[in-house]
Amino acid sequence: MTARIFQFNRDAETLRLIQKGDREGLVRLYRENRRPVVSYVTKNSGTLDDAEDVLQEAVVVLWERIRENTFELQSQLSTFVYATSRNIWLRRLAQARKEQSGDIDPDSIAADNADPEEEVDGRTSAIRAALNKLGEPCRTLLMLFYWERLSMEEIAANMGFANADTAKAKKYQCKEQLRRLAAKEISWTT
Amino acid sequence: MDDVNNHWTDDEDLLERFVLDRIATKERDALEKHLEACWACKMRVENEIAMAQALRLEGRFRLKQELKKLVAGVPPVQSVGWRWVAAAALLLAVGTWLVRREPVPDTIVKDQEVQVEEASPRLGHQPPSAAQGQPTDRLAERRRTDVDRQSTGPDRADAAATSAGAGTEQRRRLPREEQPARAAEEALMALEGAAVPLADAGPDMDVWVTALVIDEKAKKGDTTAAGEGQVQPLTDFTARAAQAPSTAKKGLAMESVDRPQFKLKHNVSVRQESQLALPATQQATLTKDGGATFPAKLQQLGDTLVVTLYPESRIQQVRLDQSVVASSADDTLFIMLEGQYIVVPLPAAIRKK
Repeated sequence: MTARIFQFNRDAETLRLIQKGDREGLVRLYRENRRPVVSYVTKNSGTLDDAEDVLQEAVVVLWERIRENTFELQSQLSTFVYATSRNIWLRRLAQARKEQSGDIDPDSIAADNADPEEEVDGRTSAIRAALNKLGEPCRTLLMLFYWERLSMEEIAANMGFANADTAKAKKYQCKEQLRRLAAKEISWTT
Repeated sequence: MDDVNNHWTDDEDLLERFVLDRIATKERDALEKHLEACWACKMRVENEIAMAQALRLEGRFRLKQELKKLVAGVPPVQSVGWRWVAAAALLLAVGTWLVRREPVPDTIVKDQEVQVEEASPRLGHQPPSAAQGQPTDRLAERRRTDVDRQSTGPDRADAAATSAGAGTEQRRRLPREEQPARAAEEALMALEGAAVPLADAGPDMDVWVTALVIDEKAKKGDTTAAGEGQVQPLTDFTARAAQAPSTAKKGLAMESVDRPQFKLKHNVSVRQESQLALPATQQATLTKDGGATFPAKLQQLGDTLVVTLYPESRIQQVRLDQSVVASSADDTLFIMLEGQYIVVPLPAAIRKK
């Protein structure tokens, strides 16, 4: 038996749920962190809707980290979610106030929890628009690969392809199709 | 890769691995060097990055929408509820204490073992005769002991108690210093490979065991050594380290099993006391490969298992309460403290049925 260290608490159970793709893990995170995040945001110029949106964003960030295998539990999950929510909210405030001489310095906010929505360029927007025009199973296949970070073997099993090579060939076709659709939106270089 | 006419971006797999950061740093450096000289390749990488980002944003958007639906109407966890629960528990505890309080002399009874026995008659495996002993007899005996303490001093009181009792009663009256001595001895025996004589603790006594603490540094080191990349969070497990001396020597060996157990989760109260409070011979914190053992005392008070840890000073700063109790297997209690994990074996005498 390989020696392993396990995290022995409720956080571990929540992480396990998320890794399994069980949405209950996300709901649990949301419920358990709603009060402090709402308190923080509403005390810092935000509304209840702002707070809930920020918390949802933070939970999604955590989900993404876990799926990318870049999350390491070094403190309680609630600490991570709260800190991420705080950073997202401060960044949004900083954006809103960037024309004023900074109450908040955007550079002082942890970059690793930055909201990627703000970095969208025209090309990315065009691809997103093209993605919505992309039919099935291509859209699902690409989402499983780029978002869910599943391997080709997992995608093949998930989508009923004969094997990983078949799924891989299909993925290539889907990417080409997406590029063509996006090229209609912008000048697409291949 | 150095040949500008040999474009690595033609390799779709490599392009994806580059963008999704699934390549080694050294390889990445070489590929980036090529990009500096190949404009077409650079554009292709940027397009791939844009595609990955678009799919990522779309994924975020969809997940967020899904989460919104899932949590719609879900009430938040009300922390004020816990305050009510705590207040109710406190009231219950006070009420129980008042009901059980008997008219004894004003002497402060410091003998915890007597209190434990009265609060929890099912502690340990008592012989039928002892288990069915008349409470009034015990109270009378305790009153006699207290009177003896008042009139003759502690030494003579202990002697009187010893002469009045027999068998387990006699063990119960042992000076407190002798019990930690057993724990230290057991800790040493565990590391040396001898069996820990837990069953020898006696039915009415506190049960002393050897707890194992594993710190964060050890965790990381061990995980790296195992080639796992990062901590694998799981909950279905048991730990043999605190039980099997051979594994305890390795410090960190744990075994995953398919039997989630949380039987003690809501009935465990963890305390800690300074190891310095124990006699010097009992301060048995032994470090081994990032793990360390120290004495721990188990008491069953009603439905609550009270675990008193006697760790070395490094975890004395941490506040302990029920929330740190992580889970329990049939025979082992797991406690998490900020970055540290404590494994406490549970002898059959105090396991919850």
